Amino acid sequence: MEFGKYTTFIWSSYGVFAVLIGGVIVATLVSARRTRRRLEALTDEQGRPKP
Amino acid sequence: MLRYANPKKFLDLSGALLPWLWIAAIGLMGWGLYQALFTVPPDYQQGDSVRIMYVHVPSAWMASFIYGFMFIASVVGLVWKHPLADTAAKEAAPIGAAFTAVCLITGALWGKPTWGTYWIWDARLTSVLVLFFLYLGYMGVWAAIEERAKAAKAAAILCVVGVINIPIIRFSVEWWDTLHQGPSVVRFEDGKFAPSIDGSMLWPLLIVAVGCTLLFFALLFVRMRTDIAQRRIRTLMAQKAAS
Repeated sequence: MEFGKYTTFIWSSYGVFAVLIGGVIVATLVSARRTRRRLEALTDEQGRPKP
Repeated sequence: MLRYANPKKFLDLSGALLPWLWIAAIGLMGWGLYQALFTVPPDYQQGDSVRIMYVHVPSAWMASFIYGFMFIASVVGLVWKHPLADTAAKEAAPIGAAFTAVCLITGALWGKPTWGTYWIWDARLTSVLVLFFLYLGYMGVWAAIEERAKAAKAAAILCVVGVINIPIIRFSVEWWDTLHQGPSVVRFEDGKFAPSIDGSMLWPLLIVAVGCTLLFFALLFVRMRTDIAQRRIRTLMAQKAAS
Protein backbone atom coordinates (compact mmCIF):
# COMPACT_ATOMS: atom_id res chain seq x y z
CA MET A 1 0.00 0.00 0.00
CA GLU A 2 1.44 3.35 -1.09
CA PHE A 3 0.82 6.60 0.77
CA GLY A 4 3.08 8.81 -1.37
CA LYS A 5 5.73 10.76 0.53
CA TYR A 6 4.21 9.57 3.85
CA THR A 7 4.60 5.83 3.16
CA THR A 8 7.74 5.36 5.30
CA PHE A 9 6.33 7.36 8.24
CA ILE A 10 2.98 5.54 8.21
CA TRP A 11 4.37 2.00 7.95
CA SER A 12 7.08 2.77 10.51
CA SER A 13 4.40 3.96 12.95
CA TYR A 14 2.28 0.85 12.51
CA GLY A 15 5.45 -1.27 12.74
CA VAL A 16 6.45 0.36 16.05
CA PHE A 17 2.92 -0.23 17.38
CA ALA A 18 3.01 -3.89 16.27
CA VAL A 19 6.51 -4.55 17.66
CA LEU A 20 6.08 -2.85 21.06
CA ILE A 21 2.48 -3.86 21.82
CA GLY A 22 3.01 -7.30 20.21
CA GLY A 23 6.18 -7.64 22.30
CA VAL A 24 4.27 -6.98 25.53
CA ILE A 25 1.61 -9.52 24.48
CA VAL A 26 4.20 -12.22 23.66
CA ALA A 27 6.28 -11.56 26.80
CA THR A 28 3.13 -11.68 28.96
CA LEU A 29 1.88 -14.94 27.45
CA VAL A 30 5.30 -16.65 27.53
CA SER A 31 5.82 -15.70 31.18
CA ALA A 32 2.29 -16.89 32.06
CA ARG A 33 2.88 -20.24 30.36
CA ARG A 34 6.27 -20.81 32.01
CA THR A 35 4.89 -19.91 35.44
CA ARG A 36 1.84 -22.17 35.04
CA ARG A 37 4.06 -25.12 34.05
CA ARG A 38 6.41 -24.51 36.95
CA LEU A 39 3.51 -24.31 39.41
CA GLU A 40 1.99 -27.51 37.99
CA ALA A 41 5.34 -29.30 38.29
CA LEU A 42 5.72 -28.17 41.91
CA THR A 43 2.18 -29.12 42.92
CA ASP A 44 2.59 -32.54 41.22
CA GLU A 45 5.87 -33.03 43.07
CA GLN A 46 4.30 -32.17 46.41
CA GLY A 47 1.14 -34.16 45.75
CA ARG A 48 -1.12 -31.10 46.06
CA PRO A 49 -4.25 -30.47 43.98
CA LYS A 50 -3.50 -28.78 40.64
CA PRO A 51 -4.06 -24.99 40.51
CA MET B 1 -16.02 -4.41 43.18
CA LEU B 2 -13.92 -4.96 46.31
CA ARG B 3 -15.27 -8.50 46.84
CA TYR B 4 -13.68 -9.48 43.50
CA ALA B 5 -10.32 -8.24 44.78
CA ASN B 6 -10.03 -11.46 46.77
CA PRO B 7 -7.36 -13.49 44.86
CA LYS B 8 -9.55 -16.61 44.57
CA LYS B 9 -12.56 -14.66 43.28
CA PHE B 10 -10.30 -12.64 40.99
CA LEU B 11 -8.87 -15.84 39.47
CA ASP B 12 -12.38 -17.21 38.85
CA LEU B 13 -13.75 -13.99 37.38
CA SER B 14 -10.69 -13.14 35.25
CA GLY B 15 -10.54 -16.72 33.96
CA ALA B 16 -14.12 -16.43 32.72
CA LEU B 17 -13.62 -12.96 31.21
CA LEU B 18 -10.23 -13.45 29.55
CA PRO B 19 -11.27 -15.33 26.36
CA TRP B 20 -13.93 -12.68 25.62
CA LEU B 21 -11.53 -9.83 26.32
CA TRP B 22 -8.92 -11.26 23.92
CA ILE B 23 -11.48 -11.83 21.15
CA ALA B 24 -13.05 -8.38 21.53
CA ALA B 25 -9.68 -6.58 21.83
CA ILE B 26 -8.04 -8.22 18.82
CA GLY B 27 -11.24 -8.00 16.75
CA LEU B 28 -11.80 -4.30 17.45
CA MET B 29 -8.14 -3.32 17.03
CA GLY B 30 -7.81 -5.35 13.81
CA TRP B 31 -11.00 -3.90 12.32
CA GLY B 32 -10.19 -0.34 13.40
CA LEU B 33 -6.61 -0.42 12.10
CA TYR B 34 -7.75 -1.99 8.81
CA GLN B 35 -10.22 0.91 8.40
CA ALA B 36 -7.48 3.37 9.33
CA LEU B 37 -5.11 2.08 6.68
CA PHE B 38 -7.41 1.19 3.82
CA THR B 39 -10.82 2.90 4.15
CA VAL B 40 -10.47 6.23 5.97
CA PRO B 41 -10.07 9.16 3.55
CA PRO B 42 -6.91 11.31 3.63
CA ASP B 43 -7.18 14.50 5.68
CA TYR B 44 -7.72 17.70 3.65
CA GLN B 45 -4.68 19.34 5.31
CA GLN B 46 -2.40 16.50 6.40
CA GLY B 47 -3.10 14.05 3.59
CA ASP B 48 -2.33 10.39 4.29
CA SER B 49 -0.08 11.20 7.26
CA VAL B 50 -3.28 11.45 9.33
CA ARG B 51 -3.32 7.62 9.34
CA ILE B 52 -0.61 7.79 12.01
CA MET B 53 -3.31 9.28 14.30
CA TYR B 54 -4.92 5.83 14.64
CA VAL B 55 -1.93 4.40 16.48
CA HIS B 56 -0.64 7.61 18.07
CA VAL B 57 -3.81 8.97 19.69
CA PRO B 58 -5.10 5.70 21.24
CA SER B 59 -1.56 5.08 22.57
CA ALA B 60 -1.52 8.58 24.10
CA TRP B 61 -4.93 8.02 25.70
CA MET B 62 -3.81 4.63 27.03
CA ALA B 63 -0.58 6.10 28.43
CA SER B 64 -2.55 8.50 30.64
CA PHE B 65 -5.43 6.10 31.36
CA ILE B 66 -3.11 3.35 32.60
CA TYR B 67 -1.25 5.78 34.84
CA GLY B 68 -4.61 6.92 36.25
CA PHE B 69 -5.49 3.27 36.85
CA MET B 70 -2.15 2.75 38.63
CA PHE B 71 -2.80 5.85 40.74
CA ILE B 72 -6.17 4.50 41.93
CA ALA B 73 -4.68 1.05 42.59
CA SER B 74 -1.75 2.63 44.48
CA VAL B 75 -4.09 4.70 46.68
CA VAL B 76 -6.18 1.59 47.42
CA GLY B 77 -2.97 -0.30 48.23
CA LEU B 78 -1.62 2.45 50.50
CA VAL B 79 -4.86 3.22 52.33
CA TRP B 80 -6.72 -0.09 52.51
CA LYS B 81 -3.76 -2.50 52.06
CA HIS B 82 -5.84 -4.44 49.58
CA PRO B 83 -4.08 -7.66 48.55
CA LEU B 84 -4.50 -7.23 44.80
CA ALA B 85 -4.16 -3.44 44.52
CA ASP B 86 -0.35 -3.43 44.51
CA THR B 87 -0.29 -6.34 42.08
CA ALA B 88 -2.66 -4.48 39.74
CA ALA B 89 -0.52 -1.32 39.75
CA LYS B 90 2.74 -3.26 39.35
CA GLU B 91 1.48 -5.33 36.43
CA ALA B 92 -0.11 -2.34 34.67
CA ALA B 93 3.16 -0.40 34.54
CA PRO B 94 4.98 -2.26 31.71
CA ILE B 95 1.84 -2.06 29.56
CA GLY B 96 1.60 1.68 30.22
CA ALA B 97 5.29 2.13 29.45
CA ALA B 98 4.86 0.32 26.11
CA PHE B 99 1.90 2.52 25.10
CA THR B 100 3.82 5.64 26.15
CA ALA B 101 6.82 4.56 24.05
CA VAL B 102 4.51 3.96 21.07
CA CYS B 103 2.98 7.41 21.64
CA LEU B 104 6.40 9.12 21.72
CA ILE B 105 7.84 7.30 18.69
CA THR B 106 4.75 7.57 16.49
CA GLY B 107 4.44 11.22 17.55
CA ALA B 108 7.97 11.80 16.28
CA LEU B 109 7.15 9.97 13.04
CA TRP B 110 4.03 12.12 12.63
CA GLY B 111 5.89 15.28 13.64
CA LYS B 112 8.56 15.04 10.94
CA PRO B 113 6.24 15.35 7.91
CA THR B 114 3.83 17.68 9.73
CA TRP B 115 6.14 20.07 11.63
CA GLY B 116 9.44 19.36 9.90
CA THR B 117 11.06 17.93 13.04
CA TYR B 118 10.98 14.64 14.96
CA TRP B 119 11.27 16.32 18.34
CA ILE B 120 10.92 19.64 20.06
CA TRP B 121 11.00 20.38 23.78
CA ASP B 122 7.47 21.75 23.93
CA ALA B 123 5.24 21.21 26.97
CA ARG B 124 3.16 18.33 25.59
CA LEU B 125 6.07 16.28 24.24
CA THR B 126 8.20 16.90 27.32
CA SER B 127 5.41 16.01 29.78
CA VAL B 128 4.75 12.74 27.93
CA LEU B 129 8.49 11.98 28.06
CA VAL B 130 8.33 12.64 31.82
CA LEU B 131 5.43 10.16 32.01
CA PHE B 132 7.61 7.55 30.27
CA PHE B 133 10.36 8.14 32.84
CA LEU B 134 7.79 7.86 35.64
CA TYR B 135 6.80 4.44 34.32
CA LEU B 136 10.47 3.39 34.13
CA GLY B 137 11.13 4.75 37.63
CA TYR B 138 8.08 2.94 39.02
CA MET B 139 9.25 -0.37 37.50
CA GLY B 140 12.78 0.36 38.72
CA VAL B 141 11.57 0.76 42.31
CA TRP B 142 9.81 -2.63 42.18
CA ALA B 143 12.95 -4.22 40.70
CA ALA B 144 15.35 -2.59 43.17
CA ILE B 145 13.62 -3.38 46.48
CA GLU B 146 13.59 -7.04 47.39
CA GLU B 147 10.97 -7.02 50.15
CA ARG B 148 7.58 -6.92 48.45
CA ALA B 149 5.72 -4.81 51.01
CA LYS B 150 8.45 -2.14 51.02
CA ALA B 151 8.67 -2.12 47.22
CA ALA B 152 4.89 -1.78 46.92
CA LYS B 153 4.81 1.14 49.36
CA ALA B 154 7.72 3.01 47.75
CA ALA B 155 6.38 2.46 44.23
CA ALA B 156 2.86 3.52 45.26
CA ILE B 157 4.19 6.76 46.78
CA LEU B 158 6.13 7.49 43.56
CA CYS B 159 2.99 6.79 41.52
CA VAL B 160 0.81 9.05 43.70
CA VAL B 161 3.32 11.92 43.52
CA GLY B 162 3.77 11.46 39.77
CA VAL B 163 0.05 11.74 39.03
CA ILE B 164 0.49 15.53 38.99
CA ASN B 165 1.94 15.00 35.52
CA ILE B 166 -1.39 13.73 34.11
CA PRO B 167 -3.27 17.07 34.21
CA ILE B 168 -0.07 18.75 33.01
CA ILE B 169 -0.11 16.49 29.93
CA ARG B 170 -3.83 17.09 29.40
CA PHE B 171 -3.75 20.88 29.70
CA SER B 172 -0.20 21.57 28.45
CA VAL B 173 -1.52 22.51 25.01
CA GLU B 174 -3.86 25.07 26.60
CA TRP B 175 -1.58 26.46 29.32
CA TRP B 176 1.46 27.00 27.09
CA ASP B 177 2.16 27.79 23.44
CA THR B 178 3.05 24.43 22.00
CA LEU B 179 3.92 23.13 18.58
CA HIS B 180 1.65 20.20 19.38
CA GLN B 181 -1.92 20.96 18.37
CA GLY B 182 -4.65 21.56 20.95
CA PRO B 183 -7.51 19.11 21.64
CA SER B 184 -8.64 18.13 18.15
CA VAL B 185 -10.75 14.97 18.47
CA VAL B 186 -13.42 16.36 20.82
CA ARG B 187 -13.75 20.08 21.56
CA PHE B 188 -15.72 21.95 24.22
CA GLU B 189 -17.61 24.68 22.39
CA ASP B 190 -20.79 26.61 23.18
CA GLY B 191 -21.21 24.80 26.50
CA LYS B 192 -21.04 21.27 25.10
CA PHE B 193 -18.55 18.66 23.92
CA ALA B 194 -18.66 17.96 20.19
CA PRO B 195 -16.46 15.91 17.84
CA SER B 196 -14.24 18.06 15.66
CA ILE B 197 -13.45 15.42 13.05
CA ASP B 198 -15.78 13.72 10.60
CA GLY B 199 -17.51 10.50 11.68
CA SER B 200 -15.73 8.52 8.94
CA MET B 201 -12.43 9.32 10.69
CA LEU B 202 -13.73 9.41 14.27
CA TRP B 203 -15.34 5.95 14.48
CA PRO B 204 -12.25 3.91 13.52
CA LEU B 205 -10.27 5.98 16.05
CA LEU B 206 -12.76 5.24 18.84
CA ILE B 207 -12.88 1.55 17.87
CA VAL B 208 -9.07 1.24 18.06
CA ALA B 209 -9.15 3.06 21.42
CA VAL B 210 -11.79 0.68 22.83
CA GLY B 211 -9.78 -2.28 21.45
CA CYS B 212 -6.61 -0.97 23.17
CA THR B 213 -8.52 -0.57 26.46
CA LEU B 214 -9.80 -4.15 26.31
CA LEU B 215 -6.31 -5.34 25.36
CA PHE B 216 -4.95 -3.57 28.44
CA PHE B 217 -7.40 -5.42 30.71
CA ALA B 218 -6.68 -8.75 29.00
CA LEU B 219 -2.93 -8.26 29.48
CA LEU B 220 -3.40 -6.97 33.02
CA PHE B 221 -5.49 -9.99 34.04
CA VAL B 222 -2.96 -12.45 32.58
CA ARG B 223 -0.07 -10.64 34.28
CA MET B 224 -1.89 -10.48 37.63
CA ARG B 225 -2.74 -14.20 37.43
CA THR B 226 0.95 -14.88 36.68
CA ASP B 227 2.04 -12.77 39.65
CA ILE B 228 -0.35 -14.66 41.96
CA ALA B 229 1.03 -17.98 40.62
CA GLN B 230 4.63 -16.79 41.13
CA ARG B 231 3.84 -15.95 44.75
CA ARG B 232 2.37 -19.41 45.22
CA ILE B 233 5.54 -20.92 43.70
CA ARG B 234 7.67 -18.99 46.21
CA THR B 235 5.48 -20.24 49.06
CA LEU B 236 5.73 -23.85 47.87
CA MET B 237 9.49 -23.55 47.43
CA ALA B 238 9.83 -22.15 50.96
CA GLN B 239 7.72 -25.02 52.34
CA LYS B 240 9.83 -27.49 50.37
CA ALA B 241 13.06 -25.99 51.71
CA ALA B 242 11.73 -26.04 55.29
CA SER B 243 10.64 -29.69 55.18
